[in-house]
Order: sequence, then structure tokens, then C-alpha cells
Amino acid sequence: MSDLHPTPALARAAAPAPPAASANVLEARHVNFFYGANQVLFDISLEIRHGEIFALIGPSGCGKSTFLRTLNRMNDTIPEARFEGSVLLDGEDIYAPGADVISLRRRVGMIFQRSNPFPFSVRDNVAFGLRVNGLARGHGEREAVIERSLRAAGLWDEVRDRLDAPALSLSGGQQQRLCIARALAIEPEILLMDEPASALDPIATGRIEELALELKQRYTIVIVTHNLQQAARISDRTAFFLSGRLIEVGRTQQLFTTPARKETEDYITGRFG
Amino acid sequence: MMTPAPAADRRRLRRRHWRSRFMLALTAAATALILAPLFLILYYVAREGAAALTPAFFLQTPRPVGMPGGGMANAIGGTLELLAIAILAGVPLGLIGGIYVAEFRRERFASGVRFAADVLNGTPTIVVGLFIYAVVVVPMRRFSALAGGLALAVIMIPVVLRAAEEVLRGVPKGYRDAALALGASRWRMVAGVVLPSARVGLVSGALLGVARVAGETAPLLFTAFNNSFWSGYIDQPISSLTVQIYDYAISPYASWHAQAWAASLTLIAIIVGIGAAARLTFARRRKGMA
Ligand SMILES: Nc1ncnc2c1ncn2[C@@H]1O[C@H](COP(=O)(O)OP(=O)(O)O)[C@@H](O)[C@H]1O
Ligand SMILES: [Mg+2]
Repeated sequence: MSDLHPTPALARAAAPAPPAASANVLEARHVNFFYGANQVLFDISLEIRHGEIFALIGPSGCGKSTFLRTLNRMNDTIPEARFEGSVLLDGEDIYAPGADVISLRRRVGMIFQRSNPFPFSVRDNVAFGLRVNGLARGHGEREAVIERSLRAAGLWDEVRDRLDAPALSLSGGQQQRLCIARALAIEPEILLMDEPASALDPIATGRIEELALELKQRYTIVIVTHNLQQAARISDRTAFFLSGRLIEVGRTQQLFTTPARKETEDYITGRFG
Repeated sequence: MMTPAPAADRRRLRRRHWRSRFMLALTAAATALILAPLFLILYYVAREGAAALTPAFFLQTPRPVGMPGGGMANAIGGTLELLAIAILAGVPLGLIGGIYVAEFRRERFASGVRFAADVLNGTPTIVVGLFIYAVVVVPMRRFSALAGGLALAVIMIPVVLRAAEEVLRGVPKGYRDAALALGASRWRMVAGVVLPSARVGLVSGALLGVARVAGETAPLLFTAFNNSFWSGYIDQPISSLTVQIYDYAISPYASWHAQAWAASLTLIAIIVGIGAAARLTFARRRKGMA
């Protein structure tokens, strides 16, 4: 970690108030990332603001997923991978020595590209995060949280009579919404979504998009998508990545209508990627 | 590209068709050749043993030399007791080892454990018996069911360990990622997600280990030894089907030979039963995953 950055204690002292509407909740500073000797992210700096939907776009292999996974330290599980730089969550560096990865992941939930419900019942899927984090210990309280999470994910009406059915018996779109419910159950502040609809049909995709817009009321969302229309439909701001570099970031409407950079224009007009 | 004439096309198709039929017949013949010894053994064992498969065989203990009748009730019970001891000692150790090498496979010690398991797997079982003789039988100053069961456990451990490792490595990465992303520690991930989702496979792996040792004779010869009487005590010598088959087969008595065949049939039935249980749980897993 660089000496230029405030220590967590100082950062906390400097930013005592609850985040204002436009405050940065996440801030990546000079992020480099390597898989072994292969560098895939180059000096990425960007901010994600409270309550917005932030889209990451760019051609396949440009490092969108890798960048997203630096935000909840999911890359920690990859051997031979190396991170440089810092990521501030409410001003505190999540990569600082001694930073608590587990509480970080409680605050920053993640939805994966391939929906991955556990091979348990619907109920046990949603309850898993509660158990692990020691939340909602009482039976009644737990059931209430399960219902609330499934409702928030728009799944309650479809599964209310089959909470004990295996999660893997649900349809693909339902499974992905179950994963969202599972992530919401532990009440994260930020949701990271890595192409959450890429394996779904258009109707299921539409439901995920509506859901993202609803969830925006309460959560900050960072979404990776290869679907430009999707980014244009739902996001407030968009970042365009190319070959591991941040080419352009700005208001979505502006980025799609009057891009500042030639590469961005080429990409959104379909000239490559 | 040239488009071949339809006639040539048809000829080629016919040739391919015949070749495919020929290969199919060849594989069927090879399969029959492989299965023939199996059925011959089963047939032969059944034919020779059928006469001795009386109720007495299952209910009585051996008679003294020269007296007709008697049975192998104590040997059947002994085999089951030895297997029970082997399961109690071997399955937990094998599973723990398998979990360790699967979940911490990047640590140097894990590859050491894996290597040791492979060496142990290749060790002649009579050597394992000798080892247990030295470290259990000699200090206790007697042959015992405990020693026999431990010898079987030692043989079982690497089988269970490797099977468990395979099963755990097959657990989809997505489950692990999801658990970690929900704030689970590594340990909670393994205990709360990986093990439960591999449960059925782990049971099958354990049964594989049991089936592997159920037919062992050599490691029991100088550990469990043999016993002509009922004995439930783990610190006493105990009879087993395999050792009893060995003793009876080399005896000069025709009636004992017949009983050895009957014991063989019983042993095969026990092992097939365990194998079928393993297959059934595997089948259930596949259905559960679908
Ligand atoms: N676990 C990994 N090990 C090694 N290289 C990886 C790994 N994951 C991704 N990469 C490489 O990093 C680059 C960026 O990948 P990724 O972040 O998945 O891109 P995107 O999500 O934009 O398609 C690619 O070249 C990819 O091959
Ligand atoms: Mg990706």
C-alpha cells in the first residue's frame, strides 16, 4: 500500500458523516492486476457513487470481471494473482494490512455470471449467509428475512409454496434471482453483478434489469455487461475498458451519444468487440 | 473443394457403415471375453458351495476336525466386526485426509500426504499386516480383532482418501465462490457448502474403501488370526470368512472344502451388496443433481 493514501484510521476520522447522496462509496486508485506475469489491469482509477448503477463495458477479455472481483477481493482465492494499488470503501482501504475480508464481503455482495445456487433447498440457500454471519438467529426472524429477500428479488410469489424444493429445480432465471435474494439477505451496501443475465433468455433478462432498477433505491450496483443496450437502459454511469485499460468513464447517456474517445466510439458503434 | 459423385458417396457411406458394425462386434466380443472369467468364477463358486449352504452354515460354529456339520456363523460375524472396526478407524481418517489434500492442495504438506497415500495404496497388504503385528499384536501380546480391524483400516485409508479428494475436487467452483462472496470463511465454506454438496459421493467413496478390504486375507493372518468360537471381544482373536476359507481350503476334508466354497459365495454376496449400495447412492446423487 502506498504512503500517499490515508491510513484507515485517518480516513475514518476524515469522513465521519454518513455518505451523502453523491459521495463515493468505492474508489479504485491506480489498480494494477497480474495473473502470474500476465498483467491484465493497468493503472485503473475510478469512483463509484452512492446509490448509482455503474456499468462496466468492453470487449471480452478486457478485464471487466477481474476489476469487479478486485472490489470484494474475490481474486484473493486465485493463486499466483497479484494486486497493486488500493480500493477505498467509504474511505478505508480494503487491501490495507489487517483489513477484514469477511466483513468486506458482507458489505459488498456479488452475483456471478453463471448462477450458482447451492444444491440445497430454496430456503437454505437464502439462509446460508445469515447462518454464516450469525444474523437473524431466531426462527421467526429468519423466516421473515427469507421472505423479505425473496420478495426483493421478485421471486417470492413463484417460490412461496416450494421453499423446501431443491434450488436446482428452479428455472435459470429463477435461479439467478435466487442468487440475488441470497446476496440481499445479509443486507450488503453494494452489489457487484458480473453479466448476471448473460445466460438468460430475453424475458428473464428483462426481469433482472427491472430488478436492478428497483434495487437501486437501496443499493449501489456495479454491473458488468457485454450488452450495450442493457448498459444504456439501466445504468447511470458507464466505464469503457479496453485491453485492461480504462478508456473512458462518464454519464451513460453522454458516453453513448457523444463519446470523448475514438476507441469508445468504435466500440459502441460496433466496429470491434 | 470437389463434390464427389453420388455413387462414390454412397459407396463410402456403405463402407463406413460396415466398418462401424465390425468395430461394434469386436467390442462386444472383447466385453464377453472380459466378463467370461467373472461368470465362470461365480458359476463355479455357486456350484461347489451350494450344497454346503444350509441353515446350519449360517447359524453354527465350526465342529472339531472329523465331525460332520457345523457352520461359519462366527466367521460371518467376525468379518462384519472387523469391517466395523476398520470403518470406525479408517473412514474418518481417510475422509479428513481427503478433505485436507483437496482443500489445501497447494500446500507442500498436502502433496506429501497424497504421495504417502499412493505409496500406502501400492504396499502389499501382507506388509501392512506385518506392520500391525509389530505395533499392535506384539505389545498387546495377543492376536485380536482390534489388530485385524486396524490392519484393514490402514489399507482402507488411502482408498477413501483418494476417493474423497476426487469427489471434493468435483464440487463446482461456483459453490465455493458463492459461499466466500457471502462472507463465509474458508472453513465455513468447506463445512457448510462443499461437504454437504459432496455428501453422497463421500459415502460412496467410503463404501469403495470397505469393499476394497472386505476380501483381504493376508493382513488378517497374523493380526486377527482365527477363532473356532464366537468372540465379540475386540482384544481376542476373531474368525473371518477369508481366513476361514484359507484354513478350510488347505485342509484335507471334502466337507470343509464345500464349506470354503459356501463361505466364498457368502463373501462375494457381502462385497457385491456393499458395491450395490455404493452404486445406488451414486445414482441417487445424479438424480439429485439434475
Ligand atoms: N483465473 C485466471 N487466471 C489467469 N488468467 C485469467 C484468469 N481469469 C482471467 N484471466 C485473463 O485475464 C484477462 C481478463 O479476463 P476477464 O477479467 O475475465 O475479462 P472480461 O470479464 O472482460 O471478459 C483475460 O485475458 C483472461 O484470459
Ligand atoms: Mg467476464
